[in-house]
Amino acid sequence: MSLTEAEAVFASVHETALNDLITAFCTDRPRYLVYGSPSFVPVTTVAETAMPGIPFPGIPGGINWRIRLGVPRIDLFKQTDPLPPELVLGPGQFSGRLDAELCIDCRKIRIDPKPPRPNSPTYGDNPNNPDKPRDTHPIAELTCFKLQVFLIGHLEHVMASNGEDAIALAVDQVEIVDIKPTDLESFLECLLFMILQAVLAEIRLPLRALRAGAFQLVPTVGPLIEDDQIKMRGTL
Amino acid sequence: MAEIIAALDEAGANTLLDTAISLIPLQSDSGSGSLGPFVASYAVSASLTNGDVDLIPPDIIRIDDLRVDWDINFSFGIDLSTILPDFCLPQVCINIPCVGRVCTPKICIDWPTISIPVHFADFIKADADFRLDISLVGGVWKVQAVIVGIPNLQFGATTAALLAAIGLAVTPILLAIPFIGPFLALAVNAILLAIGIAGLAGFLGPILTPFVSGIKIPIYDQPQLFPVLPAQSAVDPQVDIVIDAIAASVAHNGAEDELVLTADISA
Amino acid sequence: MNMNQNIFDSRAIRRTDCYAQRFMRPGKYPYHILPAGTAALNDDRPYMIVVKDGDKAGEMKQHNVFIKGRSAQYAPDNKELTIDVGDLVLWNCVSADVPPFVIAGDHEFFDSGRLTNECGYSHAFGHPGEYSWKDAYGSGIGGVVKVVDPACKCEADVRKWRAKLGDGTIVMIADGKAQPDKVEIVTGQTVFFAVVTSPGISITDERFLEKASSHC
Repeated sequence: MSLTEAEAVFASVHETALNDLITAFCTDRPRYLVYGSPSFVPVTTVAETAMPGIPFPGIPGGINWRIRLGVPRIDLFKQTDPLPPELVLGPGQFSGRLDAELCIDCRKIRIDPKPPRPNSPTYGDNPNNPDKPRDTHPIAELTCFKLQVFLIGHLEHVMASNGEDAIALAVDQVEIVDIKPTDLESFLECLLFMILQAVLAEIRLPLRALRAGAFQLVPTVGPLIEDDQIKMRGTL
Repeated sequence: MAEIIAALDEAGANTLLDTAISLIPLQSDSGSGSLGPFVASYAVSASLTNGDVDLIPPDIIRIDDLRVDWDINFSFGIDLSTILPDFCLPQVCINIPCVGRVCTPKICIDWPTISIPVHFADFIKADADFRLDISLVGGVWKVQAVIVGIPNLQFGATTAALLAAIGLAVTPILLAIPFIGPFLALAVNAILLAIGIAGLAGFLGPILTPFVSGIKIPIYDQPQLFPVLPAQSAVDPQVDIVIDAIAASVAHNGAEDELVLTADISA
Repeated sequence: MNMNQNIFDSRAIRRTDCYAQRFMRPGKYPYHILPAGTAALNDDRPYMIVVKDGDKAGEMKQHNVFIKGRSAQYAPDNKELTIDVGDLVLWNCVSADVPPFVIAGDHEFFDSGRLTNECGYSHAFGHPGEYSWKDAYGSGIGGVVKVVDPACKCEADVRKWRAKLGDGTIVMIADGKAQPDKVEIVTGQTVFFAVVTSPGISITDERFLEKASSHC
């Protein structure tokens, strides 16, 4: 069987090269893997993305949080890497595995003897107020946990930020292994499902890079996942 | 197994080479060469047009009917006295009434040296084999199709047409020379015979062959530090990968001969 | 030889031209050969025609003087020529690519730049065309020489054409007019303009006259 089959041009990228590309993206733009509210990430840099805290009445500045993701390792169908039994890698799919660390800034909140001002969820957050009840939890006492996350997904043909044809990794299912109670596992899986969908959708790899700039290719078939590769066929 | 594979079938290779060859800029040269017994100075330019591509494993791209369009301006000097025999006006006698007979002497014409400028444009077709050549120079990966050997250029009808063009160019110049008019055709013929078909082929061959023998067709040209994404902001810098290795070959896959490029990369 | 060297103008003698002068009185006639149009710049007359008082009733004899030259330097093959009264001397340049010249004598009648009496100018026409000629000094004398291409199509035609080149054509100039005023020849043939009497004229292609008509 020819590589090009009925088309004029063929391009494929093996999962090892795909992982190199993802690693290059995550290494050059690590902020796409690290998100945190102001007490963790005061400002967005190349290394981190600043996010607002989770607002909650009575918690000055809201609940501060941070999530750090490891560089995902992608396994294209056929399966190479082991998966939890809950996940089955089907044709056209990829699996992924990454570490995730979630942290919150756990503080003790002193009750303010003054009457609360209604409709002021940020009450007590005024730095000019000498009675401001601040009792920040020391950073050394962050409450964090790490998880290994498994996922299943498929490719989406998208446009890169510069308008080029690109692929993105779309997450279909997330699995965290052995967390009890089961509802907590489901809760965390859902939380990470949403986060990983958003994060991986931003890692858009141009088709040009997938073929290392060789030839032109206007895809008419693919991108497809098969034989541990992403394959495309098309015209010049 | 290569990490990245890109392949073209013969039709794709044809299209690729159409574009690649059309992007080779117009080449030009100047100098002097032998045009039969004369020395001609010339300025020539040539452009290439792809022909029919045949991929031959393991590493040959054969192009049939590679077309070289060329345009030449040349001029050559002719000392007509080396081409034409001495020519003398005979003695002329007249009888002047009441005076007598007066005769002019025999007057011999000295033929001048003339310069003949010729402009001519035509094309030739050649069959040529190209071999894939891979290099990493100055941080840039290049794959080029480099011509193998020197194709034999067949000028065929070109020489006859060029001879006719020389005839056309020389005619008005000869016509401007006194006394040649009546035997212009003989004079033109004498010049063309002196040059001859062989003279033209010997003139054109060395001039045009370098345009073909030096052909390098770019197939792949990318920096080793390959940009995946451009910088978008201060917090989104450029994303690069390193192309560690490039290979190129012509592979026979199934029923197809394909031009295959492979790359290994690292983050 | 180029086109300029086949210019039809008696004031500037060229390779395919001849100037002839008859000497009707005994005496010494010094002259010089100078670039055309420059006779007034040089009073030297280093060459000589010596005319002896001979048998006037005898037949006119012709003497040829061949001029060799390089650049603007001309020299006759016979610096002093002795002839009899009534004889004719004809000058022609045998060197190629020398500038056109005049035979400048001390006597008014002896000047190729201005043909006066008993003299002549011949010109072999190298190109076909219709040549209207005129006296550059304004006498009104003029005429036409029509030169036709022999239309040689083969070597035999060329041979026939060459055979015709020895046939000359004469135009007599006397009493203020040229006879005939229109002649027809083929390329390469010679027309001899015989000036019997005139106020001092030139035989000049009208096309040059229009461009350079400066005389006093």
